Amino acid sequence: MSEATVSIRDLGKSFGGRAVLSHISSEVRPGDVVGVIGKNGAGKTTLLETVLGFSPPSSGSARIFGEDCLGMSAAVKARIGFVPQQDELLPTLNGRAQLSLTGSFYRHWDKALLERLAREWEVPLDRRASTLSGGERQKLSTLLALGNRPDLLVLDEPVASLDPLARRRFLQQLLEIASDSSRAVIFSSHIVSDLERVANRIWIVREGQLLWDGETDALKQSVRRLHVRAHHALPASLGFSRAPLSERRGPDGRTATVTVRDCSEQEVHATAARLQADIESEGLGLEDIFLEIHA
Amino acid sequence: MFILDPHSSVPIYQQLVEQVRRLVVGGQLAAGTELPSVREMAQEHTVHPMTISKAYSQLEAEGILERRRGKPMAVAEQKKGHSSRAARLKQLEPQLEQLALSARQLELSAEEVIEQLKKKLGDRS
Amino acid sequence: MKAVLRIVLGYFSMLPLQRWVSGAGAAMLAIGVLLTLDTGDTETAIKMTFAIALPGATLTALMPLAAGGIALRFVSSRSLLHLRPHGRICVLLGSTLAIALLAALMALPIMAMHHVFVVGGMRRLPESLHPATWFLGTAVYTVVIWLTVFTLTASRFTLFGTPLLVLAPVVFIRAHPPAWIIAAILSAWLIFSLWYWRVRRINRPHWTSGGLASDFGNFTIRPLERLASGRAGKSAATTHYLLGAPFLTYLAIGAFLALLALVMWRLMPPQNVIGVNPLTSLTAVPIIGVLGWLVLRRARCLWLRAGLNRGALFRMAEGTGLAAALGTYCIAALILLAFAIPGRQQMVLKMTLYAGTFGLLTACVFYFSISLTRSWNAEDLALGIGIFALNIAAIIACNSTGRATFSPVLVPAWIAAGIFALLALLLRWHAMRRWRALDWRVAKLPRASQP
Repeated sequence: MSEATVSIRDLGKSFGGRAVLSHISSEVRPGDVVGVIGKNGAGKTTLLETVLGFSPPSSGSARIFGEDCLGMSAAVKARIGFVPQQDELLPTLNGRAQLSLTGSFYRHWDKALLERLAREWEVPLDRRASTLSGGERQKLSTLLALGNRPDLLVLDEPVASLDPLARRRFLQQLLEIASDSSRAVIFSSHIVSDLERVANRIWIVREGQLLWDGETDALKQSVRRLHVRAHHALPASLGFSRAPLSERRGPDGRTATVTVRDCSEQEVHATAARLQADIESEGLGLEDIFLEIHA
Repeated sequence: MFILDPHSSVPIYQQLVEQVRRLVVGGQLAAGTELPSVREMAQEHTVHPMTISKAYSQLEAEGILERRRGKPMAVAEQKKGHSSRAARLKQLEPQLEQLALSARQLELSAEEVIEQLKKKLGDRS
Repeated sequence: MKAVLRIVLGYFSMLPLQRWVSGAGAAMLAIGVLLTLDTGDTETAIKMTFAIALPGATLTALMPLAAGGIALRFVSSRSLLHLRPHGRICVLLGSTLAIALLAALMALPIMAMHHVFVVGGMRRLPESLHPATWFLGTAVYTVVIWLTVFTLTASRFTLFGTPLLVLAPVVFIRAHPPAWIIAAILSAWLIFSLWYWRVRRINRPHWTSGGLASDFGNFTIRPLERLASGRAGKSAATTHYLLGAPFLTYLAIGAFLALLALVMWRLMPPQNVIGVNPLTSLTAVPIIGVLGWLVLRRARCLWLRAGLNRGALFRMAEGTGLAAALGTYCIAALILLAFAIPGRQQMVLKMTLYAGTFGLLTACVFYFSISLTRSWNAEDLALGIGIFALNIAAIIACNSTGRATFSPVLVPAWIAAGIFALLALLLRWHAMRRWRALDWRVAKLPRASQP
């Protein structure tokens, strides 16, 4: 079994007494594309930046390629690529200068790849960064992180300013990286539909905790919406073994829409029999799952 | 060839598995037909390659596909039993479930429904 | 009307901890004034006023005075004011009222003291201690400083005039300003108001405009071209990331400071040649203070790229930043020495020693600014005030009284040098300690949305 690329153990982070992250544990293996979703302010950026060592953890630890995040060696750092949420472009330099500036830090810098991507993504390399639009800046930021062919690529909302065409091209490049099973990607995005395509694992961050850490497919199979219809009023509690994520009752009290997690078919049948009701089970797309979790 | 919807509630690999299974059982994919490689499929549909390889692995385990060295995955020789009546009826399971549920909601009797169904099937035969 | 009052209040509560400082100052002012009015004795009145009431008023007035110009620019940005009905008028009225309030705060203690004198029928106070003088004087200085800062932060080129801000008070702090200056400045405010009301668009303060802040200029010097062509090495890249400008820029700034100091020197008594050096260090303080603060935050970009741990990254940032800071100061000091030494050859050693002493103080300022890993808290504020006070004290201590000799009033240069060297080492240790726990989620560069 190959060594975990990223290993997070009981990570916690507080700012001035306020806990922004608590008890986060997870692992990222080579070949994974992890999608991180969560409401604004849930702690996604803090999580990514703490794991990378920008911010010392208040408790717990994070290890990248086996080394503690605060004390990573130069060799490990050379294998990481990071695209921050706020770009770090120097306003007076043009794209070409930025790329060579960043490239001078790395021993292996793939200029040919970057030239090709700059052409495909339509990133102007000869204009000063301060004159680029928001989307072009984001694309340039992403290019800066790809040059050293990182084994771990971390992106914080990399596509927020991109139009659908640019996003699609970006995703295709991401899949190229994903095809190489020795490289891993972690990326956070609000655009849930992109994650559904490209991520094989999902982290759902809610109020600083990892609500879900598992495969995308498993998430879709686990969270289901049940439509309950009975001929008589339903009891106050429907009696599921695990508290439902959300519950809505119809005005007449005889219908209910319940979103459940990890509820087996047997339990659904048993509940239907017990309540003497029809229960119809519906699967949910990732965006609906996200909404239900935050309902 | 395949229609994959990443936004559906059905996981992508499962969609692919069901579609391949249906086509093979129904006879549209003959034995020996080559399927696109994992990488090609992933690029075409812009999905994670692991999803495709997961589907392929499951189909291989079920005996529907076979792996050949140096060549892409191909449809395996199906045993007689696979295209048997029972197997094909099994393919209709989900739709029959749906039909039954809708019928109950609309409070239609079994006879009425079968009547309609016969008419529909009668149009085709 | 409410908006106007909010704006006035805003000037007194815009910085972290300002409320506490203002509160403390107001309390001191109130106590001082009450004690002054309470006593009938003029001697006590003078003591109360100058020991308690006036420092209190200064404490409250200092922050709005310093930051008002930039605040005015901040609040005038398009996105904030454009859609507000009568937005600009409210800001103008609020600012004018704030100036009046500041002037009143400073005049109040003097008014109390004056009252005691008048009631006691005592000797007449000099013209410069009349409340009206203080009121107008404060108003005038406030307008000058606010308008200067407002202009200076317009673009990266105007930022070069920052040292003027420090030098101007030194030149103008004499007797009360004559009437024509008062009239001129107040009409300047009026003209500014008219311009402000009518101008189409006001830029945000330059040092927060997009991307990594404070790139000092778009000079096409060779280093930039080399960067663009890809032939620059890792060290050039590091310097550019940390400083935002080629090293030469900082030497140019030093030369500019020297030029300003030379101009000031002409206006000051000619025997005070030693005093020019401390002056340089004072003008360098804002530049070096900002430099250290920025280097700390810009080092974030090198955390992954340079492959260094925090200790090594500190040493790299320290090396680059200190070189720039000392480079700025040394060029200024050297130019000044070159002008001062001819005709005073016997003083070469002493003047060089003084220059060196203040160079060490500059290093202290740098290490302090590079230790600001969190946003201002009480500890940082105390340290900052302490160093600033030390700077002023050193200037006073090393100022000569005699004309023939250059013996300092209080402290010989080598003792001062020793103290500053020790302080620099302590501050370095403090900065290193802070860097171990440096959290770049907290130490962020100022961000602005696209204008």
